[in-house]
Amino acid sequence: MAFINLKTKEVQVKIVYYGPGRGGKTTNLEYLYNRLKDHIKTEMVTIKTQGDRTLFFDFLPMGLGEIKGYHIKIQLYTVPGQVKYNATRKLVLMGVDGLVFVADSAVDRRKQNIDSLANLQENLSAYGKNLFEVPMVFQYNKRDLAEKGIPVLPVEVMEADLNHKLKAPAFEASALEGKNVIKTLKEIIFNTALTLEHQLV
Amino acid sequence: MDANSDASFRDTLKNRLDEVFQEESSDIQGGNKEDESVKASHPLDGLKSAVLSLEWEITQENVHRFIKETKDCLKRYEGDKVFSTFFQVLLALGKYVHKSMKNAHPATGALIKSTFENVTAVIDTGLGEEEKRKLLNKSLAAFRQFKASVLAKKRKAAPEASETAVPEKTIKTVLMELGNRIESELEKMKAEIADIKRKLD
Ligand SMILES: Nc1nc2c(ncn2[C@@H]2O[C@H](COP(=O)(O)OP(=O)(O)OP(=O)(O)O)[C@@H](O)[C@H]2O)c(=O)[nH]1
Ligand SMILES: [Mg+2]
Repeated sequence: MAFINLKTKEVQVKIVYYGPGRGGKTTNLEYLYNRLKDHIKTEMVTIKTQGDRTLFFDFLPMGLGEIKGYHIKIQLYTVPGQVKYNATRKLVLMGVDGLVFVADSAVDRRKQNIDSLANLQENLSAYGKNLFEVPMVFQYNKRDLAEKGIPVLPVEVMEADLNHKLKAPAFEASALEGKNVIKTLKEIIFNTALTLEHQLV
Repeated sequence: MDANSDASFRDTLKNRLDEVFQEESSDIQGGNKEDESVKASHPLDGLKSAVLSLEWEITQENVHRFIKETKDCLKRYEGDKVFSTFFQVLLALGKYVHKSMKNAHPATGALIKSTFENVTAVIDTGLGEEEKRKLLNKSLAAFRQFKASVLAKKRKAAPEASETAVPEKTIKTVLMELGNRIESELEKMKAEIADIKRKLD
């Protein structure tokens, strides 16, 4: 549930990037941070291990300015994808308003994608939510691998594996090259904010 | 809310998102252009794909390919002191990965990538001799530092992922954010419990 402060007229929308380890969640946020510095104005908080795995989570706040008298603030989070950090993943999901599922297009990550989506469903259920009620956008990331001679899953296969029932919006992307990173974010903010609209008086 | 104001919230939101993310779309196109120029067969294409594969996953096959590509480059650029020093660094890193495989220091991938990026810049951008040396020195310094930390790690056999120095300020921000979240959830729960109590009384 979004943080809506009727007194200060502030709305906080929490968007969580979820997905298997090394799928490109942090890379999404890094790209956004670099491209949108003017609107962000704060620092990106990221806690990494010595390499580049997310240890705790990444956090990137940004402002959308005022709409209908409300200051709209967006908070982007990533979860740590590594299987062993489930407690942190669950914690980060608390109060989530919208989800981006970053799937890895590499052929041998197929199972990890499916497992991670199942894990998401399981963790959401701890908060009495399910995949069908939280706005979600799929991002089929690392499409650029194909050009580099690394086999990628056809989009149809990924759709069938992950989005067959949900039928959520989905984008092919390369977070590394910045392709469709912004499109993904725009879509999830738009869909999420629409579901919150009725709470604004 | 009546239908009219619904439409206006939607439109305002959409326009705002376009505004905030506007300049970005041109950035993405910029990215695409760069991508195309790389595609027009670059002398380092083979090495690039080997670097990416290796970064993606350390397998025997990927390591061998990386070492082979590095050796090819060494031969091709052997007349140039700066270029060949870069490739020697890459070769040393390749041999190190070959020896340690999955146990390679977690920063290895990033170092290989940054060294590769520097040599690409040196070869591509027609830098002056002095700038070339500067980039080379940067890579060499990073390599030396890496060697030192590999040795230190060996000596200490550090526990995984424990030693990241996260700035105190960062942790404070994160904790405060979490605290706010938890507090708000607690408030909600308290209200719910009070509500249930009232119903029971
Ligand atoms: N080729 C390619 N590599 C990518 C892309 N996106 C991310 N990567 C690389 O994949 C690796 C992992 O990316 P991260 O963003 O750290 O992945 P993550 O999902 O945050 O991983 P965890 O924090 O472990 O959950 C990095 O080496 C990235 O550079 C992409 O679109 N294409
Ligand atoms: Mg991460």
